[in-house]
Amino acid sequence: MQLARSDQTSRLDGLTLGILGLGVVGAVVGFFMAMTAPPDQSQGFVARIFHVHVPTAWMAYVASFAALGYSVAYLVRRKSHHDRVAAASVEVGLIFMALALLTGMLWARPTWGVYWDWEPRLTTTAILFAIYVGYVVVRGAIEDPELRAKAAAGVAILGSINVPISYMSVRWWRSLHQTQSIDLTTGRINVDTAILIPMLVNLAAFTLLFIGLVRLRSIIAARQAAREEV
Amino acid sequence: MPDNPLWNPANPFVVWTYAVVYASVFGYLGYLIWRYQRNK
Repeated sequence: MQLARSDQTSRLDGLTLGILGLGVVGAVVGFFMAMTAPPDQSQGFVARIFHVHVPTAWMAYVASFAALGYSVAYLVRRKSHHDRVAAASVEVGLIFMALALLTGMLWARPTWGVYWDWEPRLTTTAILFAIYVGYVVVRGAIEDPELRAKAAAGVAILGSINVPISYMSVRWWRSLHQTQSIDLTTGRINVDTAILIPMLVNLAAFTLLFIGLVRLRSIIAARQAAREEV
Repeated sequence: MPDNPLWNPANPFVVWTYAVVYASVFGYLGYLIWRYQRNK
């Protein structure tokens, strides 16, 4: 599914509203499921942070790949629409990245005893966050729209290289952070179904919210661009 | 385990986590809707 159509007008369409509505309902359902999920054997109720920490981290990765796809599409086809969607993906992705870092810190304090440790997963995620802050800075610093889009696309492509490194860091350099809950390389699930299901509901809800937010942000950017052209 | 803070359902770390996540996501959605409406 495309995050936004290339012939997208500057009007808020029914599909975007539908995706956002479903995402909001899903997030409310996910919240109640997380609050009624059984406690973890060793971490007790603090493990409920898992139900939002993992989905926000996944959204950060999804945003990175979306920005990569639309940046490559821009460099190949030179359509400003692709640049706008890449920028919207990064903006929404930055919120999820910040939330992944923050929820991780709030989980680390009661379980590890510290808010932050420069261990591989946390460090690579912090680098990823810094790269996308750089993306926003680059966009703000260049006035020429074509040069801005090309430079931003370069940053987005380079930034996405860090995603598989960050994902695999918990296996390549075993440290404080636990290994993946769902290992995409082997398909192995390392958590109990009762704890997994609320997380998956939140993951689906956050995915819908991510798509809806990127579409809405792109619509606003398209309106802004159209006004600047007049 | 009544004395273990990890087993407190209202543990402040859990409460803050959910408050920050939902406030940020819904707050950003509200901000975008406001921006859209303002420029209508």
